[in-house]
Amino acid sequence: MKVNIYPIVSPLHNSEFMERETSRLLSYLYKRTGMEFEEVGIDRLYDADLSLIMVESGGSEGYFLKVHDKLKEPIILLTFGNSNSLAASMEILTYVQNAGEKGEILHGSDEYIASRIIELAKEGK
Amino acid sequence: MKNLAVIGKPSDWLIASSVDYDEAKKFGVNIIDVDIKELEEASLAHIEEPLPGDFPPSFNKEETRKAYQIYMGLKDLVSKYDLSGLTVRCFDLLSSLKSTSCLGFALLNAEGIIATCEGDVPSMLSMFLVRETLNKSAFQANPSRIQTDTGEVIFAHCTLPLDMCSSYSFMTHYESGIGIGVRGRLMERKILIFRMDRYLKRFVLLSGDIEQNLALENLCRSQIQVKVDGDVTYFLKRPLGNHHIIVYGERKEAETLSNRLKELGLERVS
Repeated sequence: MKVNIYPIVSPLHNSEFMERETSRLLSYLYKRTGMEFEEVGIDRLYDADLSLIMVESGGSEGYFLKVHDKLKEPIILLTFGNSNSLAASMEILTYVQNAGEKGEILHGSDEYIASRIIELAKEGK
Repeated sequence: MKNLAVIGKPSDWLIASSVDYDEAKKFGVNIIDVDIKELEEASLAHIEEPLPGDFPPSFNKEETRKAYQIYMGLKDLVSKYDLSGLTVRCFDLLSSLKSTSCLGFALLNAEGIIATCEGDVPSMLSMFLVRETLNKSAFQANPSRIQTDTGEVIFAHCTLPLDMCSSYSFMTHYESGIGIGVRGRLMERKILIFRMDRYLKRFVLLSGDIEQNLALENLCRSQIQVKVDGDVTYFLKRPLGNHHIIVYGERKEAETLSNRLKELGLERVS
């Protein structure tokens, strides 16, 4: 199974740290799920079994707005525990739901995120 | 009516937090817009302001002085517009004044003047209602990490009211690495977690216990780990926005605040 990921990040945050954090999480998810994870541009986001928006940091909400009209429901926000990524995801999910759309934040332990990704991929999201 | 000011516009990332100022009148407030240049000019006018003697002496004196100038500039605007509270598009000050308003907010909130970050109007109004109803200071914070299995949530931000702290120190502001961010140590007590939605129609009011203060990297400077009573999936499934307001309080305060909000016509969603 293939999971495509579109990352959004604010330039306010340390990009080297973000890359390390992203690489660590994707490496874990690959080992735990056996799925192939690829960071892609917005045009290829839905060429996969599961499509995720990876919110890498606080302040990235405006970058979400730039691609919002290209996204399909449910909008699934993969979220770290650092750099105000969760805070940004909550603001984004509130916006999405205020617009009457469905969405979800994937956040918690690596194990929880992996098990939820397996469930979502099976559901064909 | 009491006056509250939005100094600069809300930050661009607050995409779910714009508020109809007329709707806010039901809280007895008049919200006014103030150009952030007024704050910049008012702050720069205090270049010779002496620092209070009780600030932590270990932090860079020049950075402390610049942050204190912003506090004095904020005080001038409070006086000029007869403000009970304000919110500032504070990240703009990083480039214009090369400093932060975190210290100013920490001092103002402790004095009973509501001061919230990033031009966040729902946060300002939520803190205003806490002050009006419970006469308490409150901590505007980001939910930063959640463990759904244990119900533990880490909240963090770079400022908090100094009267909520048992001790505090100065650091740089987290995202920018400049200015002052306040690392305050909160008391390990029962708290309430509160916010309203942008439409001012719904609110969340949760309770919990501060388990410990933290000092983690890659988060804002003041950090607490809270064991939330009940289900924490609200934050991941149906949040009302990002910033949440934390106030010391138990069941009695929760009932008082909840009843007041219901009187004002708001619906409790969690």
